[in-house]
Amino acid sequence: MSKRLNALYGWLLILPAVSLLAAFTHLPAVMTLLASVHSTPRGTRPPHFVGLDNYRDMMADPIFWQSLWNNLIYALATIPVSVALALTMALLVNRSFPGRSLARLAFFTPTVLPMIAVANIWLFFYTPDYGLLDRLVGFLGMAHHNWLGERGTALWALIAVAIWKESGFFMIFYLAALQQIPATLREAAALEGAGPWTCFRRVTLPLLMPTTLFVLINALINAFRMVDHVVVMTRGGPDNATSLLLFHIFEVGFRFWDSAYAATLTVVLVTILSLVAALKFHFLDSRTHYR
Amino acid sequence: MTGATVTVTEITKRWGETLAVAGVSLSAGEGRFVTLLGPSGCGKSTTLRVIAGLETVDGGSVRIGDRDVTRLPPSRRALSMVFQSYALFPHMTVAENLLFGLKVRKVAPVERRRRLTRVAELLSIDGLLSRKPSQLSGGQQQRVALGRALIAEAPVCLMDEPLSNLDAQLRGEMRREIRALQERLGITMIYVTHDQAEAMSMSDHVVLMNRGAIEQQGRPGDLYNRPASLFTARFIGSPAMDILDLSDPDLSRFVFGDPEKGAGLLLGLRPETVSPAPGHGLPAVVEASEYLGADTLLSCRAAGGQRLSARLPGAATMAPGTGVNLTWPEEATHLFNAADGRRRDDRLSDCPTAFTRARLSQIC
Ligand SMILES: Nc1ncnc2c1ncn2[C@@H]1O[C@H](COP(=O)(O)OP(=O)(O)OP(=O)(O)O)[C@@H](O)[C@H]1O
Ligand SMILES: [Mg+2]
Repeated sequence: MSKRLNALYGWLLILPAVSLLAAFTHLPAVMTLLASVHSTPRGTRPPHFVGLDNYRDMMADPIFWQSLWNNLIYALATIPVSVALALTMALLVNRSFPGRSLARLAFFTPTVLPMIAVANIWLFFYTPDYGLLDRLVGFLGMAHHNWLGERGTALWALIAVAIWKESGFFMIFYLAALQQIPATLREAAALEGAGPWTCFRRVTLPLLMPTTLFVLINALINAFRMVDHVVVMTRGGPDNATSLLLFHIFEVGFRFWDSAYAATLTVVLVTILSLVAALKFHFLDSRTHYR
Repeated sequence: MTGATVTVTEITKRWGETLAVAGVSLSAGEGRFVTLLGPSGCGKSTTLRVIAGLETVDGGSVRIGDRDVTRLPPSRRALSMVFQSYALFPHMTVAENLLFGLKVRKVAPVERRRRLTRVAELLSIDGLLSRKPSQLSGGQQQRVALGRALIAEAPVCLMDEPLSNLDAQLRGEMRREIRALQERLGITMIYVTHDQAEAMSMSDHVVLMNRGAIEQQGRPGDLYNRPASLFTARFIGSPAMDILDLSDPDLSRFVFGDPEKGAGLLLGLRPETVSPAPGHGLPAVVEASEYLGADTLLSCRAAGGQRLSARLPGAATMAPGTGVNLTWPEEATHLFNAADGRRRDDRLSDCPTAFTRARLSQIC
């Protein structure tokens, strides 16, 4: 009797959490999966089962492939650069010098700003003729550009914004990790004859491995998750040159109102992110725990 | 591997307002074991780190061998160091930790292997070479840290309280091992500790520091037998030397045969030199007796309320309240100025001989 009562109490206690999780995470996930194998309801026509038709359409959708490809370039360019920059900045502001707090704040500020604000700032930088960048380029005697309007530069312009925004955030993780490394380790290395570079490569960097992995994987996830700047700055243009996967989903779902196809794309995106997450847990749990 | 002379001249180091090291000069000859001793915060570590090149000086110079290394970085001073926290690289195995410096200095692989085998055998850590530091006990980590310092075959080795994390038994063992190794290899050792027993038992030369300056330096026996100041007298020896105020007329009469002569002086007595002398010693009352195994420590209170103790062989317990007469040999009398704590050997001649003292004490 009391055992059953206990069980009942238990279920009652987790009921709020479970119902919230079910209502806002599990149910939508299942619904999305279901929607991806049905047709989009139009007017009086209710959705009907279409099997893998949506997926077949997706395979034939050039914009999907273009977005996936863009996203890949976007990830491969932003991740290494922002992580390397983050590490460099962390190393710079980890030493003591006058105005250190100010330097840390300066590096961290882009992270605090909302992406929409960041996008607006950079919109000004990229403005043809009057923008900061064109002024600079003009000053150096080179031709002006429509940075966001040309196929060749638009995606790279967005990549620069993402790096600018993300590096400061990752720097914080590196800074925390650097402060965890006892100063005596560096001193011991110095006494053993190691110069600053050897000390960094053989001692500091290996000890930062867990942080690097953590940052890498978060950067990878972010690369598939950030969309605000695309919406504000280019709306995927010119000619889909800056359409990222999430932006494509946004367009399909909320501009073309093709909810079934949007669901299909979402399933693909979630699958990619899940794979990344699985990778993350595998590595974080096994390889880097040397202590 | 042979040692090199380390000479430190008038070094000073400031941290903002505090003067951590104030004009310290010392010298460690080839193959000597020199200990920096002193209470917490007296500047031992700072002095050692200055010698290592891990801190810059505000004044003075450091010479190793015949080179002035004051401005050289740590890597170019040809010395090795054992940190209090061991500072082993947590991501490397024991072998990698040991070989780190040799690889950095591009020692040939054959030579590396030869030295690794030798050091591992010397410290009996052969079985641990493939482990990570986190998989070692405190004593084993300590050995590895020691090994990393020895494998470099640097002529000078610095150690900053390397034994403070170990239990009493292991500490005793490691003391003997470190000393034996140092003698066998002939390296010059500069060793920091706040444990006077450690300093006394290991060193050729002890440098006692107090508030950033050297209070006294010399052979362990010099510091023990002829403390130059009250600070040294109190710091060296266990149990500590008792200090009695000679401005007390009764005590002054007992020591000098005159109640006035002791004004402004302090009397230092080591418990191990004080013994009961039925009939003719300084009258005192036993307050407590502490049985230590080999001997017994009697805590007594003399006339005038001053404390002194006597260390007696065996289980010579006495009930509290028992009256005793205490005496000590003339050469065990230490006199100090009450004002500045300086030793006053010149006043020893004022003390009557033991024979007259025995008579005097019978009179009073
Ligand atoms: N990095 C530092 N910044 C400011 N003050 C310091 C620093 N390092 C040491 N000090 C000060 O210098 C003085 C001497 O310190 P030091 O570490 O040399 O003492 P120590 O004799 O090694 O003491 P312990 O036995 O406790 O290790 C102390 O007053 C300490 O507070
Ligand atoms: Mg210290």
